[in-house]
Amino acid sequence: MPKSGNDLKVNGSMRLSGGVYDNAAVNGALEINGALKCRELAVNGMLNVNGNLHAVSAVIRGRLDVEGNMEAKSLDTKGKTDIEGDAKIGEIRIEGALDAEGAVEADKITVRGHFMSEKGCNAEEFTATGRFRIEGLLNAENINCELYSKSYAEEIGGREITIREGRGLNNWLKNIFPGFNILDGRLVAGTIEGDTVKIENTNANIVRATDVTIGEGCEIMLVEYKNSLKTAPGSKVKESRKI
Amino acid sequence: MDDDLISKKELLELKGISYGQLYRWKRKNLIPEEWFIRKSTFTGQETFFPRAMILGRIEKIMDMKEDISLNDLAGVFSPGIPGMKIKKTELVERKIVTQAALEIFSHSFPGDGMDFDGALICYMAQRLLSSGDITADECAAAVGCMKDNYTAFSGKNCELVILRKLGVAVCLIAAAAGEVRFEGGAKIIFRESIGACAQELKLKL
Repeated sequence: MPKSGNDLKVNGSMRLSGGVYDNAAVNGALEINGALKCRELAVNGMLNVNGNLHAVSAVIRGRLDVEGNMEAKSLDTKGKTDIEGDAKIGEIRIEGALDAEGAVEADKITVRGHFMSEKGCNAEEFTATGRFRIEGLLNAENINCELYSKSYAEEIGGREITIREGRGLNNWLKNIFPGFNILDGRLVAGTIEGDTVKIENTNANIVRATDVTIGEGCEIMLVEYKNSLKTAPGSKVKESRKI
Repeated sequence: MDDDLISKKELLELKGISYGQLYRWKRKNLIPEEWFIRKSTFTGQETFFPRAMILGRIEKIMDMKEDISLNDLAGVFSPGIPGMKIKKTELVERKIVTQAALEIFSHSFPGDGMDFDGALICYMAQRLLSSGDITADECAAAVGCMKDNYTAFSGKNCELVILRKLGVAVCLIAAAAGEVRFEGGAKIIFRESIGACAQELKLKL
């Protein structure tokens, strides 16, 4: 985007129709009735866009509501971001929450907070230590999750899928007080399909992959594998087939 | 019906590809969303594909993969070339339409340039005419139908269907993946996927 030399800074409360800006900073509350296009967007207060949002980079420390589609090179949400339309974003970092009602397309998604996707998401890298709930398909080349709380995905597909139990406070407490499990890091999924699937603490109906490793704490109805299957003794696999 | 579909498992086996590759192609939009047909079977949910289309597409992807990057490949399969302009005379020169055919429907496209959708309509019309099954008038009607309605389907996969009953021809455009049945006396004289024609046309342009 070329520089327009036109910055927008809102410290109080304001309502605007859309526009094109260089840098946009919202410290108070801003409502935009139309489309907003800018290079750098910083929201420390509240921004409501009743249209599409196009930004090069967006850092949200407060609240962002987008009623249309969002397109950006990067989105960093430390507060809460809601996108009602589709999102096409290079890199998404979620430290607060992201609620996407449309389809999400990204190169890289890192979830440390809370991620909700209602129509599925596509990414090259999907990394989560936070919590996610994905209706539809999570499709990523590499999926790496460390679970500290309950997460859900209807379908997961990709090349390398690794789901581990979080190695944090919970594990440490578990060693001292057996049976302690206040942070039950668990993934519930319908189907998981990939080339290499390594999972722990996961409940799934079907797991299909070339190489499957089922670690501790899993409950799987059906595993179909092509090459190898390893199952930890503490896991339940109802049925497994080599194809 | 089941003969037309292929399960995901069977497809991977047959083509020797992995889940990772299939999901990557889906992510890059090389395989359209509509082709993933979910059905419940006795082993739970399974995904099926239209057999002929998916096999053709995967062969093409595997053939072309070495020369072109996946991102460029997506452009080959997506219907339409945004912002394309071509002259009518060029369409004739490149043997996409014949001069005689162009005369029949050229009044539908005023001016001497047209965009990709226009070129596609001409290309389809040329195929209609050269199939020999329809008259010039019917072809003109089909061109009108596509011209009025194709924008509503633009970018989506759809089919052009022409049927005839008691000597009267009717032309329609239907979104793909739907099944249509007709009454007894009606005869389908032409049915072709516009998406597939768009791809052929792209390779000729």
